Amino acid sequence: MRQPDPADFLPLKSDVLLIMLALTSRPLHGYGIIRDVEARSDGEVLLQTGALYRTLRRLLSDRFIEECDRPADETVTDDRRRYYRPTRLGQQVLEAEVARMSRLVRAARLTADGKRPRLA
Amino acid sequence: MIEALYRALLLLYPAEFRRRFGAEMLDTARALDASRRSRRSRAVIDALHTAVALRAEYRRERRFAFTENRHMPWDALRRDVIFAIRSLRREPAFALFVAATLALATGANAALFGIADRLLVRGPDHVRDAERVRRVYVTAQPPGMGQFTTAGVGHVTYDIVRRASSAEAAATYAINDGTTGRGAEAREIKIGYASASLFSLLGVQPAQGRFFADEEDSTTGAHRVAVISDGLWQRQFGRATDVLGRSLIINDDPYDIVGVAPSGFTGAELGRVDVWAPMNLLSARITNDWMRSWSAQWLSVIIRLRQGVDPDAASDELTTLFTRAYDGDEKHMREARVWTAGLGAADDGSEPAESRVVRWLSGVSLLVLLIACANVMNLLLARGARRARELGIRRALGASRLALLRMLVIESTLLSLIGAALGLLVAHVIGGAARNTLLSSIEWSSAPVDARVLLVSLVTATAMGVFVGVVPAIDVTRDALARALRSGVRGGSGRRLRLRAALTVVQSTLSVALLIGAGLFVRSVWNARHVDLGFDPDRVLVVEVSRASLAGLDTSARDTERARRRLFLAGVLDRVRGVPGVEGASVAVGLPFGNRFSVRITVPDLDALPQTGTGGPSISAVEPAYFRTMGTRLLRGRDFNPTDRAGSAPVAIISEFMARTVWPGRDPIGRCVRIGDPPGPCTTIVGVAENTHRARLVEAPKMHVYIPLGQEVGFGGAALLVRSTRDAESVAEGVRRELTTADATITFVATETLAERIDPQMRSWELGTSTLLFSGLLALVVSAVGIYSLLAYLVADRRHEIGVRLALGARVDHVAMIVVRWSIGMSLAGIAAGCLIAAALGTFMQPLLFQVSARDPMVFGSVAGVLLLVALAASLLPSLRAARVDPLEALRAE
Repeated sequence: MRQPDPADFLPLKSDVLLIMLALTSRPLHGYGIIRDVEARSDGEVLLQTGALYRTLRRLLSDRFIEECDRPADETVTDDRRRYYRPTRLGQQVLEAEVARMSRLVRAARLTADGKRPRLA
Repeated sequence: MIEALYRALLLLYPAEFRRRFGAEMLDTARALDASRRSRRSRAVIDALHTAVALRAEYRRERRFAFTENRHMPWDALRRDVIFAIRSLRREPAFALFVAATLALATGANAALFGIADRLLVRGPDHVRDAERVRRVYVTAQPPGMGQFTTAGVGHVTYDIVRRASSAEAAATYAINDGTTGRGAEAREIKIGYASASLFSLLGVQPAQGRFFADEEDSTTGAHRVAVISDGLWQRQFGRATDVLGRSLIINDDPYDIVGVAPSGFTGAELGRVDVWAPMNLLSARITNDWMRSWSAQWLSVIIRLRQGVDPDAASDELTTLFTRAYDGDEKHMREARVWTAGLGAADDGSEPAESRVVRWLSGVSLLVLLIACANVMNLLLARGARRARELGIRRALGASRLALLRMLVIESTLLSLIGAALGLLVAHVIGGAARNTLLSSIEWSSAPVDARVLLVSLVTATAMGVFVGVVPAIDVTRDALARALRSGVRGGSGRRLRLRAALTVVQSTLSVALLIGAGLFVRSVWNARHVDLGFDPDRVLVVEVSRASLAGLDTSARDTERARRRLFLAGVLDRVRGVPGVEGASVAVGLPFGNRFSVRITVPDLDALPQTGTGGPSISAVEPAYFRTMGTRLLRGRDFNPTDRAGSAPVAIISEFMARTVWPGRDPIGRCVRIGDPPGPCTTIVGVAENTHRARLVEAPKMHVYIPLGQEVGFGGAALLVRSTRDAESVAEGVRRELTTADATITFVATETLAERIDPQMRSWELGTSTLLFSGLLALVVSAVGIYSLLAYLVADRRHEIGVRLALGARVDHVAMIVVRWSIGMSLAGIAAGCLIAAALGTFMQPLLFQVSARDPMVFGSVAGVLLLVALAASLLPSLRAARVDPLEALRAE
């Protein structure tokens, strides 16, 4: 099967972006993601359980993330907890999204400075 | 607390989702709750909202894509089946054609399986431990003849087998023609005269009443008891419950019905038997010393070997016992070998011709199935191309390739199951027809489609559906996504085209092979029908009469009546000749394809007759008009005339072969032979007649002697011969009426053309011809459709290219020729491969054919011609379509 083009999946929803960002640093379980996202957004975004897992399901079926073993440094050893990490595709999509957003931001700044923006 | 609430809320989620994430969610929800960062009301609202959203998502996915659903395979299967039905209904013509192809192929297969099952596998019904039950054969080499094997033995042999230590049991039987009822009610039936041991040996239980007992089959006083078949019970008694104890007229004698045999019971053979009666009743009608005679050889003997006894060891024992018991002085009888073979063997111990043909035909029907598979695959590939867009969209919507494969295979399986269901109808019709016309002598107890046929068809159809579905499905789902995104159906078709062309060539190949087989059989039948038998089989009717019993008359009255009856046929000849449509009539004892009487001939100035390798001379006693009636030519000398009769000077007419063998290069007319043992008076040869076949279609010429009717000694049993102006059957009714009015003691008049007597020997060829012809034509139609559909696809696929060519100035006829060339090329490949296969199989085929080479160039040539014509016809429409491509339109469509 051919490798999908990361650009096909853009733009990402903010929830997705935040979750993907949370997982890039290290594999996390559900509650870990919630805490990480909360911290990353300065307490602005508090994910709810249902919404989180609905998104996780979507990410799993799109093959952005995958399940992985519990990290060795994890202290809590609850068997029900499952850990997720981004796949190669997920990583690429995330990078593409970040690049896209930074281009947007740069364009926005140029516009604010009165210069002609160049997207892409 | 939150955990219980959340657990309850989770029940609202799609089950699949709950199984996957439920435990984690509980854990997360509890942790979130414990951290007190979120209010419970938010958690509940979120849980409810997610449940609704997820349900909607799952529903959408289910509608547009075939998600893998490992947890509910039946549910998924049901969905796929419903979907397959819907998608087939969108292309009813395609579905119908595929189903029809499969129906004909599986139908032919099922019908043949039913026949092969009976003939080759199962054998007669109601036989317990059938592998230990065997028929007894005697192989001997009489002087002047080749070695021959027969299942016809004498009661003496039965006595030997009965006493053998390797036998757990032995039984003897003879199946004869007879009549039931009297006068206009009379019907012909098959009577099985059997020793009482037959039933216990086979292990059959009566459906009602009992079989007869040993004491009812004793020589001292055989009882007139009868066991009727299920069929007769139905036909004659309408399944009356009080049939036991009723009386049944058999050959004009009353019998007490003591039992009803179970449905489908035919003894140790496959032919229909209507009534079973004690063996001694038959023997009482023949001669007094038949039980001790070594020359009475009209019984069949079967043996049940003791458990663990090797058939070869049993044969050795039987042979030893036979040699010890034989008290005659004929060398070949002392040296005869007694042996056994399974119940499926023919009367001469070999494999019956029908079995061999059926074995072949089973192979043929498999070929037909293969052709049908190739054809369906071909059509499925074409359909796949038409659906490329739909499949691509499904793929884009998230259906996995596996899901698409499954969907396509389920479609093809569904199609082949529909085909198989229709095929059972076809099997019913074909099987019924084959049984009634070609294998009518066999009792078919079960319907053409029984449980076994049903099971086999079901399994075949399912396997076939998967088999024909998988290859096209793999092909069309490959790159489905990418292909759908491009516009049009073009592109990436090279591989598929090659695959379809290969399939089409395979179809043509198999059709050619089948048609060649059919052609060879057709020629065989034609040759067999046109063998010069030395008489006209179609125009001569053989009439035999049954009469009222002589019981109840005293001895002198009985002798008078016997004498009157003997002369009756000759006396009634003039009246028969007056029947409209009758060209001539005669009377004879000893007919071709009827009773054969061997006779000893001595020639005064010769020590012994020359050995011919075809047996000693046989004899007939005939009335003067015999040769004219039969259509046998007299080559020399004179015919018999009315003055040649009982008491006049003994004269004879001999066969040409005998004249040539005994008096090579000399004139036999006027010479003297002595007939009989001890030799009779000098019989003067007055004529030479052309050779006639006596018993077989394939037969070396034999020595034969004709003497005038009335001069015969030691043999009898006259039949009336009627030659008609047109076909013999048409005068049967008139002759029958004339005979019954002329003599009130006649109870039944049996009529049969000579051709009908020969027919059983034609049967294996006819069976082969009709089946091969049917399957060959089916294959031809199927491959014509295959070629057509491929060419049509090709033209549609290359529209653009054709348009460009035409725009660049290509001539219309050249474009059309491209298509025709394709068609011819594929069929030439098929013809070449098919001819090679047929030629390779020729060696095996040869023994089944009659006077035609298995590599007959005429048959090969005409089949090749037919296939080329069909290929041309199939390319007609697509080539016209190619020629009519409008360059502008084709280019604009891109």
